[in-house]
Amino acid sequence: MSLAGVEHAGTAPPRAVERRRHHPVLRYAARRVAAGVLTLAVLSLLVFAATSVLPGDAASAILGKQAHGPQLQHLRAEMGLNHSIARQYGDWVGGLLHGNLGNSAAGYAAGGQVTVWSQISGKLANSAILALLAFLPIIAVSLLLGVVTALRATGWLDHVVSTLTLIPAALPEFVLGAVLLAVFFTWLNVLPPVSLIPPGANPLDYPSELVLPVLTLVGVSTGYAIRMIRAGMLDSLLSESVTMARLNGIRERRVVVRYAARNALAPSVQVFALIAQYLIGGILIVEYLYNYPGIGKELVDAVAIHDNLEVQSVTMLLATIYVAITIAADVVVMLLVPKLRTGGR
Amino acid sequence: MSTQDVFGEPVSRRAFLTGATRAGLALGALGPLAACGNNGSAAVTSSGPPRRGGRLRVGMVGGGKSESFNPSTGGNTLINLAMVSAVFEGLVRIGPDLSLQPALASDWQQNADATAWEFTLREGVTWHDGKPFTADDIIYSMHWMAQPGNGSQGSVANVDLARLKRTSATKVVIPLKKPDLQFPSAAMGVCWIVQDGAKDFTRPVGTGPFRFQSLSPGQQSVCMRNPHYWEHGKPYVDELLIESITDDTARLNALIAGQIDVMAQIPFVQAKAQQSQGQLKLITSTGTTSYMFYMRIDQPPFSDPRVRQAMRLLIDRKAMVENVLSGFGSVANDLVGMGVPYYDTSLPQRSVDIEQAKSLLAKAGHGSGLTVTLQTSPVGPGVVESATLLADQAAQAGVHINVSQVSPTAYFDPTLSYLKMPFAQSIWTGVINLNTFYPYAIQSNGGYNETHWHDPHTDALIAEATQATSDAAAATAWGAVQRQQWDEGGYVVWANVNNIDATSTRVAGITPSRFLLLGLPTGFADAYFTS
Repeated sequence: MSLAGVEHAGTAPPRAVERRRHHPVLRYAARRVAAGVLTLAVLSLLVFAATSVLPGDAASAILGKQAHGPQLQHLRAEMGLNHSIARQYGDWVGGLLHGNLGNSAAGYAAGGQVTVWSQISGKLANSAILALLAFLPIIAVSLLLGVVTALRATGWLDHVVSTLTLIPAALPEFVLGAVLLAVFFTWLNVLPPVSLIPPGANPLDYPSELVLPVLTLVGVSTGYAIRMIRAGMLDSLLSESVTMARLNGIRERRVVVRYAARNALAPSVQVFALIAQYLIGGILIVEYLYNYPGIGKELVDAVAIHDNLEVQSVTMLLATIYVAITIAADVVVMLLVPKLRTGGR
Repeated sequence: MSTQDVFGEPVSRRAFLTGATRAGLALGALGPLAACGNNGSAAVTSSGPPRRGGRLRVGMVGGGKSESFNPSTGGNTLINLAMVSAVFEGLVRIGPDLSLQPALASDWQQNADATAWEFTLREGVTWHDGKPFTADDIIYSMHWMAQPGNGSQGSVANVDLARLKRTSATKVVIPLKKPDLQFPSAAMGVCWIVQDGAKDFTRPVGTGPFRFQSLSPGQQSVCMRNPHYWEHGKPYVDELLIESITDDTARLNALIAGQIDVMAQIPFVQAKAQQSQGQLKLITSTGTTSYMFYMRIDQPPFSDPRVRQAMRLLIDRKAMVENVLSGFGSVANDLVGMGVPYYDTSLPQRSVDIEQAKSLLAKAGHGSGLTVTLQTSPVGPGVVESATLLADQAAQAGVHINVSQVSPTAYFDPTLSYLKMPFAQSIWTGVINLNTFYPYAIQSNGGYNETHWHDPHTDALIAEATQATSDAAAATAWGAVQRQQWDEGGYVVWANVNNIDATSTRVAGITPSRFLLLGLPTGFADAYFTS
């Protein structure tokens, strides 16, 4: 995340005052990043502890009914599972800091070595594509409908939009997914029920396989996003500055765009950050539902075989993205709302 | 069938119907994970001569990170078995009717007391990397299988490795520690031969009908047709894709939508629905899979044989087969291996008798009722349902069964729940010979002694049966073992389960096999598209 880039995009002040003006934001950002790193460090301990206390390990899961005797000892030794908990934690975190996520249980099952990164890199990309494909329509639709319904609050359009978008939003992903499957596969038979995208392929080359997963994510989160945007916009429309603008005889169109929308922008950024964070969790379920080869399904597979190393690494990766989104959103809000910059002094 | 006849005339050996296979073991291990039986029956009819070409896409229950082409893991799950069977072969193989067929060995014969077996290797076979297949590969494979942790260890447990030798470029003599007339089928029919020196199977090299192309565990594996395969004309398809689609409904949807051509393991209820619709072909056969409840006989209340007998009398097997299996199976008689050699058909079929069960429980001191906990897990189609139904049925005899669910990964993991549960369920698959069950499940030191049966007399009988060098001796000893288990054993074997897969109507050639689902091990080489 490039903080400097974000700042420069926002304003282009004279050089002389730049240092002083940007100082609080930079300081704020630095503080947030430091806190984020600390959060992740604590989280790494929690994640490690949580996966370690789960009964069973990858060695016994690979061996199944034959998980006893010398074969179990042998495999555990090979996988480093016989080391002390502290050493296992140290090895893992040390590896993470060097960009080495370790070896996947998949390799041990085959009698060779397969890195965790080789298992997850393609799937991360697949998930990123799915998340982005869902995120963009959620933003577009919720901004449009959120603002329009705020302007027409309590009108018929407001009621229709609320009702239509809140129904799918009230359903869990797997229920909405089942409904969509029933409609688009069982009944209309226009979309494939399972997202079989070959390893290494670009999901964008399989558009029909993407429709149902994207629709499910959009359906579940858009209603919520619209309500949040609508509330922010309503607040803004009723604020003093908008009232003053109107009293000053500024045309309504200009009031809405220059004053109300501008003020509603900051809360909207937070809404989009929340949606992005929701997507990190939401894709786990949606991927499993449609057999979409993403990081969520990968995580489920890793959990199933107690591949703690992979579970820990993937969890940390997702947590890092989550924390980064939070920090980025806070910094962007800071840039959008000048009074927050001085408020801290 | 008489094994004795076979020994009398070595030439006809390749046609001999065999019972034994350590497959049971390998597949016993497979059963719990892979669950459903396989195989197909009547619905598949061939449509004209086999056509070459096409890409066969097979949807299977995935194994996640444990999916691999390592032959050592071939018995762990059905998907691994399918992958390994595409790329690798054994010296011999088990056919759809459980007969023993030649594979990498073209012929085999034993010495007078069945303590050594000579295999003649098929000539002109090459590995996928172009190297010739030789006796050295056999010698190496035997030693490789014997290593701790190798899933095929059971196949070579009786092999005297120190005296193992090649007698010519194409002949190998495998000496045994103890006589074994069933060695080719029971041991060699259920393991795979690897290339001399092979340890790492991330890029496997085999001799089988398909060459490895790629594997993405939990997602997909791709194999290409081996143009140099020794079995002329096979395989028919150019490419084999195995897709991991664990959810039953998703797998069926994918088949109906044409995203896959073959679906392994269709749930019973859906199979029944498809039977009438005709949209798909069902591949079904009378399997070698048994569903059972088991009781730990070394802990009360099941340490009292009368309680065990009562449990066997209060279950309504017929209702179970109808409801839980939708009729895709037959009632079992507390013994596994129905239809295999030496299975005791003289024992009367047990059926529900609530009054008798109540009386036995009263004699055992449980006249006022008995409460037990049954640990179940969704490890196969209908397993949890059968536990719930048993609880209903048992209530009529005054037995209150609390059904508690265990995670499927823990259920067959000895470091977690396996062999520690007093009352639980199991599935044994691929029991094509009694040798593949009793030495593992009933013998004191058997690795899968689920009922905790420890009896020196039984051990002696099992040893006598497995080492018998005459048909009559084997029959007598197996008869005694089974009689004892039928009288007072800890298993309530309630069904023999059919193997069921489904394919699109365009797929032909897969012969329903009693042995395994999908007509394995040869199902993929046999399959072709009709249009």
